[in-house]
Amino acid sequence: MRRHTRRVYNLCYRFTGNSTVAEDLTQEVLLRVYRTIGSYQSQYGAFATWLTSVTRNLLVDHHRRTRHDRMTDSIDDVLPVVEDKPSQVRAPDRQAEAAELSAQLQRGLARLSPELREAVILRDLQGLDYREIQTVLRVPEGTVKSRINRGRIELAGILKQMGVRPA
Amino acid sequence: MDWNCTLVEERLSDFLEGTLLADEQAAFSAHRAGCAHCSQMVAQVDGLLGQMHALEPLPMPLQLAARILTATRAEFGGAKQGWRGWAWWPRWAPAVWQPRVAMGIATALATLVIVLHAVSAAPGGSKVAQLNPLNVLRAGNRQVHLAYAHTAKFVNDLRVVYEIEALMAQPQAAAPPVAPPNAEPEQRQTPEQESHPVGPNPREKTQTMPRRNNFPAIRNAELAMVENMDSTDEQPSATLRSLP
Ligand SMILES: [Zn+2]
Repeated sequence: MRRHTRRVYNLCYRFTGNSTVAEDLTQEVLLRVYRTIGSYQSQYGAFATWLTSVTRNLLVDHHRRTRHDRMTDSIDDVLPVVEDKPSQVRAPDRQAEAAELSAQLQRGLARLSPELREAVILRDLQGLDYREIQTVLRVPEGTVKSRINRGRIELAGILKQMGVRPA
Repeated sequence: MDWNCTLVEERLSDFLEGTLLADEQAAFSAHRAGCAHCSQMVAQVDGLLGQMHALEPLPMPLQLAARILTATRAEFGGAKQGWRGWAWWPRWAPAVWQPRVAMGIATALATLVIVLHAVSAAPGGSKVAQLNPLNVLRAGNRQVHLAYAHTAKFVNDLRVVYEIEALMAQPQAAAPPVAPPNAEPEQRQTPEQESHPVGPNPREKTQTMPRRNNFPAIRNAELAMVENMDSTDEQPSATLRSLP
């Protein structure tokens, strides 16, 4: 379960950009999984996909719940909360570079619309295939594909604006 | 057919994932070669995908697993609800395998071994004086302590299995095959679940669970979880063991 929990945590963190919230949501997901494991049937798909669906539903709930906070505190959208170090340090270390990229990516993701953000996270950070994402998001395949495509293009544009060099 | 910027943008992911047909591929490349905007966009997105795919998942916060275990235990109450899958066990068996009880038994056994060892090692049979704690301690040799340590470790491992099994056995096996919980379309609101995200599932209260009839279903759910546990990349015991 540890591997799954880590995946859930990653999904929550990448979507919300806040590690405390991500931890709370991960815990909530696992509680919900334990409560409802009986409703999981293998014909629904792989366990990981089911788990992702549960997580995603909670993320949507959370997003709706906190919509009001975000609107009253609109500075969030301009300056998303990021817990990583300032970006000007050019560490030679590969690990530091990866951490830096991870933080920049997080800032970029926060500026995507939720629909595009979740599509890109599921595809390019969680590694789900289109069919699995279709199952999780419950939208037609064409919608999945176009959201992922638009999300990638917008994210690349945002990162370019932020001055992140492409690989 | 000549492709314009819009079409190239629309099919960018297909191009990068190599799912364009041969003629589409040719049209895409032809436009890209003659359009600075599109060739730059392709390079950017291609680079971004490379970066994202190479990114390691974030490590899980250290205390998170323990926190989740505590929360699940608080909600599911350990042995009270657990072990229903093991219907063929005697009714008292779950109580015996509760970690605290098992640990108690192990401790008692180890103590008995130490005491017996002390008594039998003493020349001239047993005297009450030889049951003096100091003598007992002196007599208790390293082997016995090692045996005790092994037992303690076994009980600790057992405890981890117990915790997980107890959680696994909890779910409602009689539920029909359905989509994941709260799986309504985006537009539909689910008031109770939204306002009480960690509250008890109302279905669980009203549903009465026959103790044995749902055995196969429970086993399926358990097997599914166990199957997934088998593929864990880390031993959970290291974290779980540090719990009170
Ligand atoms: Zn163009």
